[in-house]
Amino acid sequence: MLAIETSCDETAVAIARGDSGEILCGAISSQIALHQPYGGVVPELASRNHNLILRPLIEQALGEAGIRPADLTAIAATSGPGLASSLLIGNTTAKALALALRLPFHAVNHLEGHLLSPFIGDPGGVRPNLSLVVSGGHTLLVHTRAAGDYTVLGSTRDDAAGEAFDKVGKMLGLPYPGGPEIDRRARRPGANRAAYDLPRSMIDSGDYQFSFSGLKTAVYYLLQKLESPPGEDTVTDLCASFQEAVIDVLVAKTLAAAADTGERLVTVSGGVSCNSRLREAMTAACHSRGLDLRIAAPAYTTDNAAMIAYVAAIKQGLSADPTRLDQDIDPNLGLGAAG
Amino acid sequence: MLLAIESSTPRASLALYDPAADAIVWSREFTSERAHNALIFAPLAEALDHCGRRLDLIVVGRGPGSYGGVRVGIAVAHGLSLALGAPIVGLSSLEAMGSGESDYAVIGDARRQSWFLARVENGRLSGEPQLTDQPGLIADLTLLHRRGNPVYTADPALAAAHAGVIHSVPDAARLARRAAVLDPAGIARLATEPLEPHYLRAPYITTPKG
Repeated sequence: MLAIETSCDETAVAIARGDSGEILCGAISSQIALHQPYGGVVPELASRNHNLILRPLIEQALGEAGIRPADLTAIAATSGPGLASSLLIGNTTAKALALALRLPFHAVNHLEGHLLSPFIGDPGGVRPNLSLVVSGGHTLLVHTRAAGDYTVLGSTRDDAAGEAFDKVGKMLGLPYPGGPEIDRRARRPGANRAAYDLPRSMIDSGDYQFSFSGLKTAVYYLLQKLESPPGEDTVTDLCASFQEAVIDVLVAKTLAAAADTGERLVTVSGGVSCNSRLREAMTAACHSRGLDLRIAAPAYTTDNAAMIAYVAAIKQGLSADPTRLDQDIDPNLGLGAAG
Repeated sequence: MLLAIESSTPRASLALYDPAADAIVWSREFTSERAHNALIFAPLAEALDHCGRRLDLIVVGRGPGSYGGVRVGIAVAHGLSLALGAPIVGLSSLEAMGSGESDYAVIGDARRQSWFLARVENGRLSGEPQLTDQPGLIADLTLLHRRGNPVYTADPALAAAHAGVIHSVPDAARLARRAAVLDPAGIARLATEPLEPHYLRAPYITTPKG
């Protein structure tokens, strides 16, 4: 099958086996350089670029997999959540392909893609788990009982964790995207995670809601008090301290939710799951509680089409009805309302 | 068989042109403000059944008009082209307006207090549409009316606001007719051009604070 993902600023195509979901080929065209001058994703630029890039990328993926369109057995695409003008490009192209080739079309929820991405390539398939989905657009704790059976336990009230990373990176004058850069800085020898006492917002709120905008504001006011511009060591310590504040909250709430649901397996997915300190802290915390941990493979953490193909293959395996072609995209699609 | 897709305005249309019969053999239209991606597939399924999925050429209207609408048309064209192997050419939607003339002018709302004026000569868009302000538009219209050129607009509000400006929506059947007269060299040239909506200006980017 062929899967397309264009929910934000990455154009991605994957070819997978329709029966097992085994990924045969994945192609991603990143637009980071295009949006860099603006310090964030510009929706209109993203859409203009998807429109030009998607077709060559599909041809490249088919070529790499050695497959002709006539060999395909199903088509899948993200239908939401995401930027409307970006979702439209991949979703419409996929539906036209499906119609012309007389193939089933599966609309896939982008969040479900992330949620199940830690199981890609696992012969055992999806097992019940407590999932943290953490990216530039989302911060979710989800109780996954089985593929398709999800309860969202909590989400962010304001900024997503990855969004906070990028915004704080911008405040500190770091190159876009700020998240990976903060991680790199915080790994420098001598970086002090305890240099600045930053708030762990809602860590004791007793629920699974997150809030990161207060932390972002705290960094902003701290910067007003410090020398301007801040010295190298100050920036490095700020990166380490800010990152630690975010990760403390993510780890604490994830473990609390695991205890609450009784799940023994924790999964972490989404772009921020690439963060080396989050991986380290979550691994240590799960180990100390005797929990199993599975983090999405780095290739499947940022937006990708392999996870879309994987979910579509699971849907086919569960004999789910194909999606009607007159179903539109849904930029605000939530989990549990998957296409 | 030639399939034309025109989706740059709320009233979108599809048409099949048979070169052997020199005739439009099938056409459908639908109206939607924002849901072209949902509504285009039922008529498209009918079109593909009608032509037995044998297409020699796909022509798509590039606007100017709704970016979302045109992108649906282009995305559909790419999907069909990948699946069925037919080349795609993009033509200006302005060439698919009017009531059969080859020479006319078109005005449209270009947003942010500006309007565009374009000329179609011998059935082809002549030069880039010119952006103008309200006084400039009125001066241009006075000149065009004096010369006797028909002036069309796809925007009903503009037709209502300016005497002598006729409401006309770009139409897939007319688009198909425009593509039908292209020679193989013309098709080959157009088929290699990047297929994009007709953007009247660079993206409007606001820089967020903080």
